[in-house]
Amino acid sequence: MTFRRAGGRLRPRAVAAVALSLLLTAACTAGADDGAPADPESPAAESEPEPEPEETGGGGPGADGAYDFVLDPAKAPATAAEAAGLVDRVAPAPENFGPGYVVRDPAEDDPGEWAVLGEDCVWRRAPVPDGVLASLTRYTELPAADGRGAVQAAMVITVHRDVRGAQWEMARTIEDAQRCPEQQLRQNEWVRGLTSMGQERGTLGNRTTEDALQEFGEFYPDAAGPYPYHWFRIRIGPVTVAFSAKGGAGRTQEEVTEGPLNALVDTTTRLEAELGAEEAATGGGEDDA
Amino acid sequence: MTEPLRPADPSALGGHRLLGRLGAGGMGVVYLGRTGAGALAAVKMIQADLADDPEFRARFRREVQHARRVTSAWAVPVTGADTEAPRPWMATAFVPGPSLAEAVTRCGPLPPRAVLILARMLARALTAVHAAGLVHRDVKPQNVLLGPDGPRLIDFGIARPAEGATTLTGEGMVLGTPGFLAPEQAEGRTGATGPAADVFSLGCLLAYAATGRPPFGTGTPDALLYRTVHDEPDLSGLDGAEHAPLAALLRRCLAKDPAARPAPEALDAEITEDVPDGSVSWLPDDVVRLMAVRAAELLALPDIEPTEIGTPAGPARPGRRRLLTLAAGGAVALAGGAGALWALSGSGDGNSDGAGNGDGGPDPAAGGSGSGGPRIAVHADLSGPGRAAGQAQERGVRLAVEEFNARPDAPFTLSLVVEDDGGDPQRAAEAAARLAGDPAVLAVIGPTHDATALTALPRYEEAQLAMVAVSPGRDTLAAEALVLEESLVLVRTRPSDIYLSVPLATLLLGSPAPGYPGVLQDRALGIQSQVTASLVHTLVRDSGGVTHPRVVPPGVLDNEGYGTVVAEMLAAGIDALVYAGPADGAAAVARELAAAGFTGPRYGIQPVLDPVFPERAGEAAEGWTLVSSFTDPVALPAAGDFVAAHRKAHGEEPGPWAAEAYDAATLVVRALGSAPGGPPDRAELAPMLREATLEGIAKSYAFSPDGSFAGEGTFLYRVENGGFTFLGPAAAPA
Repeated sequence: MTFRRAGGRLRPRAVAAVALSLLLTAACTAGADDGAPADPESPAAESEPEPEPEETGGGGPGADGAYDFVLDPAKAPATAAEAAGLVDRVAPAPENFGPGYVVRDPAEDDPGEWAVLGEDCVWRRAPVPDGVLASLTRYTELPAADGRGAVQAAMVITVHRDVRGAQWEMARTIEDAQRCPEQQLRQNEWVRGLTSMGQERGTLGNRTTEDALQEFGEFYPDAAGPYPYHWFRIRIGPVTVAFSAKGGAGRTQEEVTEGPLNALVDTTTRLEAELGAEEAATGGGEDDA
Repeated sequence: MTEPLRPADPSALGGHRLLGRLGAGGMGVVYLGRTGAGALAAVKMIQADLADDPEFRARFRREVQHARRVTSAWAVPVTGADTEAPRPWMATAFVPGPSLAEAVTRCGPLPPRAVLILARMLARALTAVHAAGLVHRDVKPQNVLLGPDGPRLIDFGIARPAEGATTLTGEGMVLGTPGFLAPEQAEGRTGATGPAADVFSLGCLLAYAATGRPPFGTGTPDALLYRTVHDEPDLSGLDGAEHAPLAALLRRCLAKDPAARPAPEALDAEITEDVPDGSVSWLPDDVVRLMAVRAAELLALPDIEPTEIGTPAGPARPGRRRLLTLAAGGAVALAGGAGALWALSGSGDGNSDGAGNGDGGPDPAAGGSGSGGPRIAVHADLSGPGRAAGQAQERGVRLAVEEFNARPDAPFTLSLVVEDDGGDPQRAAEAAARLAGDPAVLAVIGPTHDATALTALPRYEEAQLAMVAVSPGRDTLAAEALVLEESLVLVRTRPSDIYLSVPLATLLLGSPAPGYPGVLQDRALGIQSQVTASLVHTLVRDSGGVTHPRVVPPGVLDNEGYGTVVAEMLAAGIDALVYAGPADGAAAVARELAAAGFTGPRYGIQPVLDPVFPERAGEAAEGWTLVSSFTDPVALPAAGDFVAAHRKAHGEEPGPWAAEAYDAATLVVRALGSAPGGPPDRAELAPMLREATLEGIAKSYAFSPDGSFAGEGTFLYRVENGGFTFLGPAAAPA
């Protein structure tokens, strides 16, 4: 039986309003006027927004002023072996996540496999397809302490044969969340209420990466939960880097995100150094007001 | 935190000196004020157009009467009111402290004993409410403030007499906050909603305080209301022995049958925990600390001396930023996370100042008539990719200004200034700086695009110059352009992009048999395709439907083509398709669908409503239904005179956005002409516009206090014979 109530005409507007508040919250990222643990200058809070990006494929660097990473195609891995070397060099160690993080067992997965979300919304490991050269997942955790549960984090670095492959992976990630707002992560682990938010450059405060997308939801291990769940994937040329972060009892969203975010930033920085053209990275950020 | 007063705010009201804004809503603004004697008060001022509405004034009178009738230590007393003033107001004692909602969100659930103490004090507050013959009807964590000497129930905005009242809101209308409403309220059974409804809401509130979760979950209002009526409350986590008395009490409060719920007096009597005498000892340390933080924030307000506040104190409402955070729940991480990433990993923001320093000064010759009188400006793309829309808007505005000047009683002659930015964001910022520098310009209509609006708005904001945006649809325009700050000058005459999803979902659900629609999100269109696709999925699923989502990256048209993805969707068995992407992509998709012989409903969003679509798709475009936020004035009876005037002036019919721009200009000239003693100052105009309403030629206009469009404004078109046939306003959802 379909439930309809008399006042039902209010519903879509209300839902839209909720969705809008979500967008606005994402837009808040533009300011970064708090929650940015290590940016003493934080000039972003004062500065101008970017114009919209050219809404086409690549979008040349510098088109919107701030993002100045330039991929050097010659540095992009061409073989599985080169890709495996790259991911090994840039992948984070527990200390990149922050104090207290330790290796989980297993510490990492076979770079010849990656996780695929099935028709049944269950994640499973599968061999990487042809277009993927390597995909490394490293696992860490902030152990339970002071009566609070562990924060479990994973960092996934995937090297595609070409940029287009990575662009499709970003699209597929959004599609996964739309298809499966509820997903089974492992035998006894689920996320529910997943919402995904693509933030291509120039959108909702994304000034510093070509493409980003985030998902958050509620994490349910066994009979427990909900705890915060956060997933964050960005793309640099043909490489995607993502973290997943699963909270535990008593952990706030900020605690869950902080460590993996630190590691994502470190990993991204190393990747840009590995893949970037020489003259890139002349930082702006001076007070121009 | 309390927000500072805005330029248009009064500095005093009803004997209170106003110190800041505590919040704003549909009815008006709530200020933090101080009486002559130095006591702090929350002063609510009703907005001007409502004050002019006799029915509303009567309602406000009743609210004040109701609130005055309630006398309880645990309800907020009314300290003054004038319901007959030109701007009616009501003052209540100011409770310095966080709301229960904020306390639980930030500090976690309360221990069982604290919940029972809270229950007892709120039961006493409800006893007083009901003794006054009222039902509060909106008991929720946001409406309980944790003051240093105990909790206080606030907000009698929708309270009404328990029986025999005039029905202001009809049977079937749901008022209140889903998730904290009683089943009888959720079903809109107004007649059955009595004092016991408040007890149910109290049960929800206490369950929330004890577990940190609303007992009927979170989600869409409809889902919440459904669960309230049909599901048992979720009290998991309260199974232990120490929670047993509380859990038993909650179950009785949350009985579906109103008659089975205890009366508040009975609750008060059966709870044995002592009500503490004016102390915070019953609250956990974290909450007390939060109260102290609020106190510190309050001290940062101008004109509040530390010596005047002896106890832990803080504003009654969390600040805008926190509100946003709370509203979005788990999105907190999204915000903090992304911000941190971009702050850390990027090179900072090196965008140079695009204001065109050096040419930003007054330029009185810029297109004006040189009359020396007040000016309004059109800021548009007249030469770039959006010139059709820009030129149509200029013409619409011009006709409205000419009409005003031709009035025999025109109080002054308005002249029009025109700036063309060519659709370029940099030029838009420069154009805005020029207009901002011309003190005779009192309002700007434009710009045409999202990208140009994003760079222009900061200039207008700085200059306190009203920016009436006719065509930009970006949902987060102000937040992005102003880097989190709210705009004081933006007025939007169309619903933002996300609202265009609503008619699409309605159409999908309303088909004879809701089937299996495919939704193709094309990232070539960026965020607009995303918000559309996401909301369509959400709305359809919330109504029990199923969708088949696909997402493609930008550049499909130039790379793979749409053949593969369309074939996959058809093979999956979709019986309708929504394409959320640009016009050229839609044309390619339409061709693929036609080639495959697909004849089911095909829908597109506003960007598809572009001549490019039928041009490139040919026959394959026929029958597509498109949703937009602009009308076709030629098809609107109310626009007959406008269309005729346009034909006469320009020799052709008005294009898209002309009628909306004419309406926007009408709003502006009315506001300018209505002020006694000549046109208002720049800073006064935007607040006037936001409070204005207009029966325009395109649609009816009303605005939210933040300047967003608050009316119905989505329309449908169908592709017929290579053109777009206007079908009229999109039906309101059933």
